[in-house]
Amino acid sequence: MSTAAVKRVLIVAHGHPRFSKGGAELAALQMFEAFEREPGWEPWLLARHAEPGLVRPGAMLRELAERQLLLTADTDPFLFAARRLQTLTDDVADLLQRLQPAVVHFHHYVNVGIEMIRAVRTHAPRARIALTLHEFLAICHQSGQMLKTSGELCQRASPAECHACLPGRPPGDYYLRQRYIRSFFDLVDVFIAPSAFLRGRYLDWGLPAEKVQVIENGQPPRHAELPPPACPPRRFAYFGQITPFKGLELLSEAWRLLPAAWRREQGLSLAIHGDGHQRFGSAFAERIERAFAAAGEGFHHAGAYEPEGLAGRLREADAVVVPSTWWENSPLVIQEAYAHGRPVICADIGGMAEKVRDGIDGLHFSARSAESLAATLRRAVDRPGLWAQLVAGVQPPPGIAQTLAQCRAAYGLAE
Amino acid sequence: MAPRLLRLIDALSRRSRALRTLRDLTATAKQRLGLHSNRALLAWGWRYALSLVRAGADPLPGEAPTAELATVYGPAEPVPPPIKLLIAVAGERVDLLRPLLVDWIHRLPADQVRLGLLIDSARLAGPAALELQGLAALWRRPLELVLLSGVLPLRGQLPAAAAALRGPQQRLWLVEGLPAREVEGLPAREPADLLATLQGPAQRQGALPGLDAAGQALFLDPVRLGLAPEPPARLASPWALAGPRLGPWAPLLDAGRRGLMALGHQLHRLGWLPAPARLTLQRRWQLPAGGEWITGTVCDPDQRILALRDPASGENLWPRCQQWPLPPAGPALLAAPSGPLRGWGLCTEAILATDGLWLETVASPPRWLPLRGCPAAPRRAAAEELLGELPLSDPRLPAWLDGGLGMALRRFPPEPVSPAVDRRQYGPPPPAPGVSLIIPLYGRWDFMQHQLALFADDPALDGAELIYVIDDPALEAVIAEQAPAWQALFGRSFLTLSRGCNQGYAAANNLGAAQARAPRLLLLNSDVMPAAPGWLAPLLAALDTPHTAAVGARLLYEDDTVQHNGMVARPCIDWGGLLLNHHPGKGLPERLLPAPAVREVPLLTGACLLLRRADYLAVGGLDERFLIGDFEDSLLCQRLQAGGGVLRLCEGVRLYHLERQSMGSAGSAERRARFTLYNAWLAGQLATEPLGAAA
Repeated sequence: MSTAAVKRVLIVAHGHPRFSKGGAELAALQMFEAFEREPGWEPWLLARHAEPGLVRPGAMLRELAERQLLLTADTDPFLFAARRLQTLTDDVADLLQRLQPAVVHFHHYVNVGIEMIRAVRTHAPRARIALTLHEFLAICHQSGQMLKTSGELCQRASPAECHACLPGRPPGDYYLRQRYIRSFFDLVDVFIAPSAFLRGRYLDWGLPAEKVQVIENGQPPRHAELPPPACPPRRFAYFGQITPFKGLELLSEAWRLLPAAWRREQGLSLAIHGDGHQRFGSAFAERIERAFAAAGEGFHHAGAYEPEGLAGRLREADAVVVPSTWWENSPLVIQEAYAHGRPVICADIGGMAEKVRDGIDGLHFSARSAESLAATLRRAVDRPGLWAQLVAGVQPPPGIAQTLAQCRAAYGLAE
Repeated sequence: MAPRLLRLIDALSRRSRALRTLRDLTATAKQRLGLHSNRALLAWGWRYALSLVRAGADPLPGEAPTAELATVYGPAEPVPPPIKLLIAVAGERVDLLRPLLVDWIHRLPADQVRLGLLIDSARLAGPAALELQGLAALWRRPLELVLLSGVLPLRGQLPAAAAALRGPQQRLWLVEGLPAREVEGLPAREPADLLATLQGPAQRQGALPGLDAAGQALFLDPVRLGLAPEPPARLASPWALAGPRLGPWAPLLDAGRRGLMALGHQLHRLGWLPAPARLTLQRRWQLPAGGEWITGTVCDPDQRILALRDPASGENLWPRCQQWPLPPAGPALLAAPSGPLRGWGLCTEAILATDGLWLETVASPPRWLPLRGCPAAPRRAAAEELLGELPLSDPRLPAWLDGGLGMALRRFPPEPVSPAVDRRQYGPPPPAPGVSLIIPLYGRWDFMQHQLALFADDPALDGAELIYVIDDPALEAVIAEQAPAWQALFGRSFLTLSRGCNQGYAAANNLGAAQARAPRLLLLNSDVMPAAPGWLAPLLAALDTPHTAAVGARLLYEDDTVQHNGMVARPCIDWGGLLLNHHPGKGLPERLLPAPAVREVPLLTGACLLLRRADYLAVGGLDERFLIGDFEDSLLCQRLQAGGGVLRLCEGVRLYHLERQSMGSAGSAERRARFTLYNAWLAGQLATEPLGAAA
């Protein structure tokens, strides 16, 4: 195939899954692999790395696998400004000039340097620039969660409120931060948000509506075919990391609120799949251990799992619970549950409430309320015919092929 | 106020000899003014500062802040824009520079406004230069960096400062380090309105007497905005009262500090308070070529040092001392009252027969400076000590090296090496070799084994002479032990040379070249491995094309990304534009390079370099004057080019270069960086000197 006919797409990620297994890193690699199968496209991956042993003097790039490049870079945590701007104005600029990609699709700017967007505009002027928004990092300095340090849910960012939430910096710094990030976002042709909720937050923040499209992060096809879940459900399950924002304490409290005799009579169980609470300090880890110990009969912590082992564990579950106390954007676990025909019970806020349709393919409970969650669990078991109706309502989630087709349309290239 | 000030100045001038430090000045001022606490003194200083501002007259006659550095980064404008806007950043908030500049960049068009940064902290100069260079490249517009030195720009001095900073026909605006939206007196939020405001009639904050119509300035009080520099730690104690517990009073006390500073300057400028001379003697080294080298620091802005006398001979050595500027230790405002610190050095032909020197200064009794010991001076130790003072990033680095520091270091010749060469031939030497491969070994002996394994079945090596120069005594035993077996196993004859010491990359190659028998030399690193047999013939053929002085090959990393595909000299922003060797395309996958060809290139690496032995010897081989090793190859290339030859790169010839990475600790990485800095400067000097100039 001649090079003239081939369109190059450069996918930029803040890490490579071989070194760091985050959701956005994985999404970038999956997109690269999906483009590999597309005739007429030549994908390139530019992933930032932080392995000191891989740094070569004077060379900011190296190749991990064919057309998968690693970039030595780092950013400051506040502005996502490249610590070494010259990497972008020299080395990345050189790469862009040689590649002349038709599309540069950022899966993140963190660690890479948000200024790279301008470097693309300058050195590959014909490239369409796409940016997938994975969370609220541009809006919110509090880990991009829009969850205040006080624990409250945050509705909007403003210099005064951000200063009040994280008092270390004067309000003027937050103003500068927003201006700075926006000055690069202005150069992006299309933003891709995995949920309408996320899109809404970025529109509130000032992105033009016509530039932000909702495209789910579709997953590669799954091969496991599971037996249908029991109706009414007996086995509830949580999947995911145990972090302070995932509502595990809430879930164990809700379990405790359910009458023990009724739980026993119905033969109910609740399994927690995942770990990681040790990484959030001993105080949090102890709280979690105490909450798990107090939850009562039927509740057990099944421990961590590998992504490939998820299907096997879903086999032993009739219902998936997502009790998060923050917004969530588009949790992967909901896609996984639906791919395997399991309805989901989740909090009625943010991205999870959007992905789970109350009464159609899952149930909502009032966010952050253990009583509401307990009542919802009880309703799922007690209401005759409800669970079978929800199981019938579950639709398989969009796959990576659909995501790719939507992204290609979003790039707006003449194909 | 005025009579009291005059009385104070009179009193201070009579006691001036006692005033050596700011602390002395503080104590004397307290005593003379009848003040009993630091708080009262600071309040007095504050009133004095206010009086300077209110008077509007130039408080420091003859002392305008000068721009120590004014550099424009990015593309040059065809016509200088009519407005220059300098953002004054008084503190050291490096993290704020980028968003601030971007905010202004987006609001002001390049053809109307030249944007710049005005700083008064030397420590900010390096980071600021890097930021401006990067932003200028990203936005493709010129950005200026001005480093103000001398005294703190109080309001009353701004007119003079403005005149110095403004270009002809330019309007100058100075704004405090804030985003445009937050600057008082700039009502406009839209770029067009903002520009109109800058173009319109004067709109100023506060009174700025003495500015002409074109040199308007907008100035906001940095103290009020909390952007004033923090007092440096070593002055913290006299001003301990100005700590956080004073709350709202802290800015007033800060102004008081400034008042006292200004008073100190005033006294100096009026000539009533001559700066005391300070001279330290830090190090005495025995030079390898005989004589000794004495260094120290000196601060003598009013030239009060009369003599540095050798009691044995009675000779005044001071006129023979070299001096060089040293980077200021703190913010520029503190360096001013006593003058800048300089390094000094004295090189003698013979070791001084004395254990001390007399320092004679105006109006002080002579002072005895003891000279202790005189160890032999290893060049590297001297370089470490002298270069250790330098910051790793500052646009003024070349100026400091030019100013004497570099020349001082050049006084140290390379360590002499033993003339005895241990020469061992393994296998029969080739009868009439066409090319001699010269391969220095350092640190790793196993590379030699790998190379021999690859050379074994490569017919290109049949008519070649292999010379390994062992530049690391630690490797000698193991190579002597293995060599006969390697020779037998791989069927290649080779010669090893060693002087029993680490003489450096350049000297090792020169030794090899001196012993080589072929008319052509291939300088090769031990960690360079040919990708495939048959690599040598195209290089030899290319050397035979007309006007060709040297030939190189494409070098790759083990993952097929580019390590070397020709080299250029590129200015280094961290080092004020000193030229460094840059490998374009380094790190890129090879398939992104154009189709291989034989190209003429500006410079070639010494890791794999083919040239004629006669040419090599004619230019004196590799220059041995660098520290450790850097730039020998680019300098050799330049010297070959000066003789009319061109350099060619055979891109079709591919070798792998496992370019070793520095495995040292952070400390040694810094030391290495300072050596490279000196080498870069030295390369620039040597390139302009005629060949054969005295080492």
